[in-house]
Amino acid sequence: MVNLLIEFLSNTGFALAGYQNIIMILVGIVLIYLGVAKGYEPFLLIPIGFGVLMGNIPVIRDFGLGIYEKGSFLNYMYYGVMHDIYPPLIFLGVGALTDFSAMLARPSLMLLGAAAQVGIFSTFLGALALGFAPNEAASIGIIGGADGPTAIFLTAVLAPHLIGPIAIAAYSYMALVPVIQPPIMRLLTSRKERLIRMEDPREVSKKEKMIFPIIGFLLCCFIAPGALPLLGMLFFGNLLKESIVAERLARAARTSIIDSVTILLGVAVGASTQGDIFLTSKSIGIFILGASAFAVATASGVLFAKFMNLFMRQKINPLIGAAGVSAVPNSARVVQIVGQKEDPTNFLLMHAMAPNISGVIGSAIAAGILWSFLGG
Amino acid sequence: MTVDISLIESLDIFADLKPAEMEQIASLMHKTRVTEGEVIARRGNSAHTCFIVLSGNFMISFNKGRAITLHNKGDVMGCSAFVAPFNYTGTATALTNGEVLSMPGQDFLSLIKSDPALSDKIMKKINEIISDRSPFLTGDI
Repeated sequence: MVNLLIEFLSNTGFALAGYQNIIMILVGIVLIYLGVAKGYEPFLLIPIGFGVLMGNIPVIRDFGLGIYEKGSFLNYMYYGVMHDIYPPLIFLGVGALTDFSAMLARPSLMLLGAAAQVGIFSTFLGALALGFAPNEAASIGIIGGADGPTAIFLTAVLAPHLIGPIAIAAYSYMALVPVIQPPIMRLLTSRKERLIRMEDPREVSKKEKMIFPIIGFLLCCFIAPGALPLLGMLFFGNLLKESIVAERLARAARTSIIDSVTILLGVAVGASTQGDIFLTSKSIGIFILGASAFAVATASGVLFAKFMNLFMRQKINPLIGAAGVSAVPNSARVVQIVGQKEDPTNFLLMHAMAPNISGVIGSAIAAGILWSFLGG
Repeated sequence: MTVDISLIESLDIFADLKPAEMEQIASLMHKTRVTEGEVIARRGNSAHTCFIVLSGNFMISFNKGRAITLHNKGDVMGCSAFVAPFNYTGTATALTNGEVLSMPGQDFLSLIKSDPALSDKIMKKINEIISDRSPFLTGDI
């Protein structure tokens, strides 16, 4: 009887837990707290945070419970991450949800979305200089795109062993957009620049909106064929939305499909952060480089907007350059908040959506380019 | 409860929206009954939801004992769900039984993606309401 009791106790989580599990459980609780109490990206941080808790319950090896054990429930969920199934499905929903008219109304603002991708490539070079392998450096750099699904998509093919830390870094920084971006935006702009008012964008016709997903898809995927799964689904989703006749499919893509996949992706990514795999010096490096990628991307967008102003008759408010990192629509909303602090009657939200949406396309193209160079 | 578009049409805050935009707003709104004494938003808490009064009397109490009461259909509570730092600046309490429309802030984020022009219009309206109320917050009355 005593032996049975001892055996039972030795098989409980209390006996099996290591300090890494405890640290990661605390990380999971912090992520859930940020999502619930602070409202930072709750749809992402709550599934990821709970996934971290699930992944760090110490289980007996070979019982078919752990995420890295073939045939386990969590392993099946993780399959969609490792085989790049979830990110394109999320992009399908994003496409079916997104109105591209802000970008089509003023195509020059797309350049800001492209400029913000400097963060990806500069961090790629920085990570290489710090001794990361090229495929790892590319996966770290993509954090600067501020797009979780894109970061997971590229990391799954280039550096699958880093999926946990890169996904957590990418989603954490996306959630912390309202904290990270404003100081950089204020540092790089004068009050006079922050007060610039922009003209209302022109009305975009239904025909333009309908043609855009086809032209956009062909153009982007001819430039970066590696981005086909992401951009193909993004533009397909948008075509469903804009064609009107397939509204039921569009509604499914932007509601039930994206919500289901977000749950699966969040929990699987969270559960992949088992303490012994996640808590390494590489992870710390990834978090530091990820933050710098994000900061550089923000700064590049703002500085490029100032550069564009040198040549433009109608000046643009350089704050909107910060929305060139993806994180739709949070970074556009941050632009609105920072702009309104200077002038409560200045509304930059719509203008910021143009670089914001371009940033999604830009980071997917950047991922495609990095994949085509390094994935062979 | 689902919201009928005629209800949206009857609210001043949405008066200048196009029919398609009203339909979109209706799809994001939920009609909820509240009972006398119910606190529907608490000062300092994270602002998850904005409310529009349909019936009943409500009070929003700010700091230092300042308060306003709302009695009219279309009055808005919980504007903080749309503006930084996204914490309620007042506590909203139902003084009588009534009905409100609610819109979660997360749904508004989706609206920014799906229709930035419409979210821009709503932000402008909310901004007007906030600037009307700011004397109560700052004490400049």
